[in-house]
Amino acid sequence: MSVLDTYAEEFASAAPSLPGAEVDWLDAHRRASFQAFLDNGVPTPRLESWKYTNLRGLGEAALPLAPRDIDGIDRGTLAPFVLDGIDCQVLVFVNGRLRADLSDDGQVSDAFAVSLAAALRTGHPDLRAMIGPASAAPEDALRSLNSAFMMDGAVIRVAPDSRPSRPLHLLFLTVPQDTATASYARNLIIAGRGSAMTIIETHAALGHGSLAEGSAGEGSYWTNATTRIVLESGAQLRHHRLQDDSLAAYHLAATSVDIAADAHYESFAAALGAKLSRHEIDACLSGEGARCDLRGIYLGRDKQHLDNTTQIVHSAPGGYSRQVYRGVLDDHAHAVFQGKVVVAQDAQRTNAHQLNQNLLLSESAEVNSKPELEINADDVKCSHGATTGALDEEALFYLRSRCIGHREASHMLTEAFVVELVADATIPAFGGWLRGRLAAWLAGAPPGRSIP
Amino acid sequence: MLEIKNLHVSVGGTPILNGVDLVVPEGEVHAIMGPNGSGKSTLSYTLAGREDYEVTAGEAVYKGQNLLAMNVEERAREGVFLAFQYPVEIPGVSGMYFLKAALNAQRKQRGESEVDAIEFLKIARRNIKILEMDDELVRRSLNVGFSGGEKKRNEILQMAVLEPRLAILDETDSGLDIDALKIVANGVNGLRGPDRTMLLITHYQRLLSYIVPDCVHVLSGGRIVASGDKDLALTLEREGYAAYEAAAA
Amino acid sequence: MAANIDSIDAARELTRGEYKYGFVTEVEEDRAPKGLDENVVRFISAKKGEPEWMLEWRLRAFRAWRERFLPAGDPTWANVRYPKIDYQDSYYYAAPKSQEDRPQSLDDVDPELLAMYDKLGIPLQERAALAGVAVDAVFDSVSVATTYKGALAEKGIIFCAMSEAVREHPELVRKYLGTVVPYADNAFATLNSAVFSDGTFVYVPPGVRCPMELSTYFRINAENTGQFERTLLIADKGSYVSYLEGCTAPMRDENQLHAAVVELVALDDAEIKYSTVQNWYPGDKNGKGGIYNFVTKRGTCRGRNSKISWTQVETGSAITWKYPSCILQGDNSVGEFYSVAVTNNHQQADTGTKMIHIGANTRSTIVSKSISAGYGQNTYRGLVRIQPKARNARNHTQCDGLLLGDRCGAHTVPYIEVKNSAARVEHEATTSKISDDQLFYCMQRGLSAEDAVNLIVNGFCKVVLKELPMEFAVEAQKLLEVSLEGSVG
Repeated sequence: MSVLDTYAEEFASAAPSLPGAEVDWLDAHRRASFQAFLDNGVPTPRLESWKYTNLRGLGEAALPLAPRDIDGIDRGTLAPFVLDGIDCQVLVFVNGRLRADLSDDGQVSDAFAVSLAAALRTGHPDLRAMIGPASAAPEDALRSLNSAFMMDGAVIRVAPDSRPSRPLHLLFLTVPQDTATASYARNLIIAGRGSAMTIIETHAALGHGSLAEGSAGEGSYWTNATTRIVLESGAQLRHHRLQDDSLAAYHLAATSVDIAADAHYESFAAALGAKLSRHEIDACLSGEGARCDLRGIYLGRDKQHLDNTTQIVHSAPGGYSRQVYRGVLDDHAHAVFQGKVVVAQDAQRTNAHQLNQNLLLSESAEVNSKPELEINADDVKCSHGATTGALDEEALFYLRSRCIGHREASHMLTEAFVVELVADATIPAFGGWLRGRLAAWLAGAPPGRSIP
Repeated sequence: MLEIKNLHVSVGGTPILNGVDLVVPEGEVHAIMGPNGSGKSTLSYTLAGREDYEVTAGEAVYKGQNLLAMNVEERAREGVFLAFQYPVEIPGVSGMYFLKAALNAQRKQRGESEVDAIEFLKIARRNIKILEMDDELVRRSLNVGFSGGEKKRNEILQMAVLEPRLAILDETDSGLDIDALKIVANGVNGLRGPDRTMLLITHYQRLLSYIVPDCVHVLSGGRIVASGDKDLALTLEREGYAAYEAAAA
Repeated sequence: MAANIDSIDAARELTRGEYKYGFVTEVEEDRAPKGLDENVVRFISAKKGEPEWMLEWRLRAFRAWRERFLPAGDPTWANVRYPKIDYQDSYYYAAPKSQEDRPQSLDDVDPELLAMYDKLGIPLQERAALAGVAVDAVFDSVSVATTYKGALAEKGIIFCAMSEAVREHPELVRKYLGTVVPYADNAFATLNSAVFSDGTFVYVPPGVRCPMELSTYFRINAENTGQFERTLLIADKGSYVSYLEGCTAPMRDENQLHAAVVELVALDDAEIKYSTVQNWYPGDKNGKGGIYNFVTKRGTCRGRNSKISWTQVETGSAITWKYPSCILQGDNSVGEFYSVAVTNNHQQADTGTKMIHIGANTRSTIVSKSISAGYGQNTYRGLVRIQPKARNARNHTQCDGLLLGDRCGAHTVPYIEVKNSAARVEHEATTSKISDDQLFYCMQRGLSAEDAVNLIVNGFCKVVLKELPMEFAVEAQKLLEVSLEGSVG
């Protein structure tokens, strides 16, 4: 049986019990999406945008859906996975499905969040618009797969002009099983006109570790998560995303954002875990004066493969976009950064800047960086830059000449490299947590562990 | 030489100059002083012919001709020179090369013969010396990496070589320390003459102690609200612009 | 917006510089039958009197082309669009009939041909006498005259047509041909390997510094005859050579394919400087006609401390697809790429370089300046690859794009692949238009808008232009001006 056949089998058996199976348009959408996936198959390096990331490790067969019913998780279990020092509204998803018993009420002042599964069951037409049509593009094959199998996630609507004071934390926790499983989560977020909100999205695994320590479960699993965000005019959304999956896991995610006039999307994405992680961000600045800040860090060791692929399209004038991604790679880790900026012909007065910086700590670490500019308007200021290298010898020498040991000096410089970006781009609680993780990572703690 | 009548200018739809009247006889040096936002730079850009500055009413007559009907290069060739407040950088084009190209463009248009490299070097060197500039500076890319003082001196060097009939110096003193100011003022004074008219745009009185004007005007709220001799500048120094801002309102 | 609409419109109305080199020479030719098959390959080889091994090599390439590349179609990953080429609708060999035998001196050259070179401004005699530049003038598919062979021969430098080298220096050709660009490297190189008509061969012996710049002029004349030159340049240990390549072509309606291959080999401590000013017919204002320039150029720094530098000014061709590259094998070797690429009207360019760092302490510098005007589409595509053993490799890349007008495009696609942590790679790119402030400043000093643009564009390209040998730099500046005429605004 071919790989695609196994997917077809899995889909056939899962479809009747997926949320909204009885809703006609939804069922048709799932089938069309699945067909699109079948037509293209799992992306291979022959596709330009997958040139550096090979998914053969996904295996020869489709993974069964992760089990729904997991006992033994209570609020206490979750403690290590929520952030200290900040009062958030938390929605907990276990194996891709909302656990109302573990979550806070979905109402966050003027924003409300419901489970996608619940929303899908109502079959509301607004949802249909949000989800959009099936895509035939081979690059979108995994998103199509997500559309076909989507199990649950959060549907969040921030009311116009509202400014909820508490961030919303979407915690996706996977409980690895003896054999590998897959979960398909989809979030839909609409930030109403003039609203301002912070959303934190974390992906982790329950096993030996905690959020503070990181996930260290041996279990293998596949997280396929898509988030679709619409910012209406003047809306502001800050999105902190953390990928801290088990080191045996595959994390394949896509975030797409539409930014209307004068709206501002600010994203910070940290990729720490997973055996292979790819996060695609597609942002479209479709209204005049739209702004987009994409920042991220990635820390890789052992044989991790961490891929950040972004595309920012300026289709309206006066837009501003900035991307800064920094990575630290040790051992045989491999990082990929593909950042594309497209400026359409009428997107005059666009300001777009991009920077990717990589620190390689070992001889066998590897990085592929491809910052791309496609510019069709002339009254623009666009730039990009990419650097890779090891720690600065001069700086190291300076620290050592002040009696700071080599190891500590390396850590200091590496930390400085990452922290600068973190401090600038995150809310204090999140940033503080990340600093702790970084320190643990540097100290060589087995990935995901902290020093006691 | 220069007669401005009821000049109204808008930038991006916002009116900045609201009826400027000004007469500057030939050979004189007039100062335009005013608080920030009064429209001083707008006046200089408008006279130089910058596109985004829209003349909504009024006129400006220069050497008997309608200045506003001429485009930028035409005005330049007729002898209008603007010493910029923030001179722009042009990478890869040396200061010398630029100046020679400009000089010859103007000479050619006026039907005069162009100067060759050697002749030009002589002219340039003479003025570089007066302005106590480093020869090396003008061989570098135009204004790239220049300090504020160096940029301003370079503007005056260009003025000396191009020999304009009407020179507008836009806040030439901003960003200069006393020593640089003296050198620049020296250079400018050396260029005064019966067939050269100058407009000094400035916020502070300091420059006018070195380049003594024949007349001082106060620009406030987009209009000339007062005129006087050089002592007016000293009065402004003591009392500030408040009185005139009230008058303009 | 430029500083003054009126003067811009006036400049627009000026006739775009008519391609001043456009004319055709009527000369009888000896053509191969139309189309491409094994017989045509044999015809070409026979016409040139090639030895068996050369024919065999061509045939291997032809078979690879027919089996692998022709069925697959032209590669589509580049950012260029053109109508499908019918490879059977061309002649693959054309030589002027009067050249049955090689001319022994200029007296033997067809006077019509010499007259043509005069028109182009390259009078062989004058140049030879005054400038001291030896010229290997290639007329279509056969080399017509070579001067200064004597003077170079004294130093042991071989500078001759490829066809002559195959016959007179087979051991050198066999040793190096196809070692930098293997015969089945890519579709166009494979085609070239099968049907290359002629080109230049240079060999500089150990320790010799070539006393003059070597140069070659090309022209495509016969209708439907693409030009497939093959150039092989070898700098033996400790030698130095500077080579200039500049081309012009007549006006034609059909698109003409130019698929050249250039291979450079630098041994220990040797240096090769390869400069190109490319002025092929770019097509008319509406994008009709023009040369397709699909060239494979590659140099291997085989020896320690060797250096290869590519400098190019590309203003012509309807479509340009070329990536002069350096394979930095020898420790401490250096690769450089300096480029100015202009696309105006409907020209398309997808050009750049590949720097492959294999040895330790290797260095590469890339400076790419691209200028787009009209509806031109200009893409920089570059690869910097640091292999695992390339300790302390260093790369610095600067790509800048200048947009003149709001209907053109400038794109940058760099691939950075690093497998060695001790390497340092830095890449920067900027894209913008000429700022209004700069234009206004120039015009306030009396320069016309057109002059201002030329001045600023020159400044933009300065760092590349100064890498060109003197006489080329002057021609390059003029070319830049002509190619951007009417694009102000």
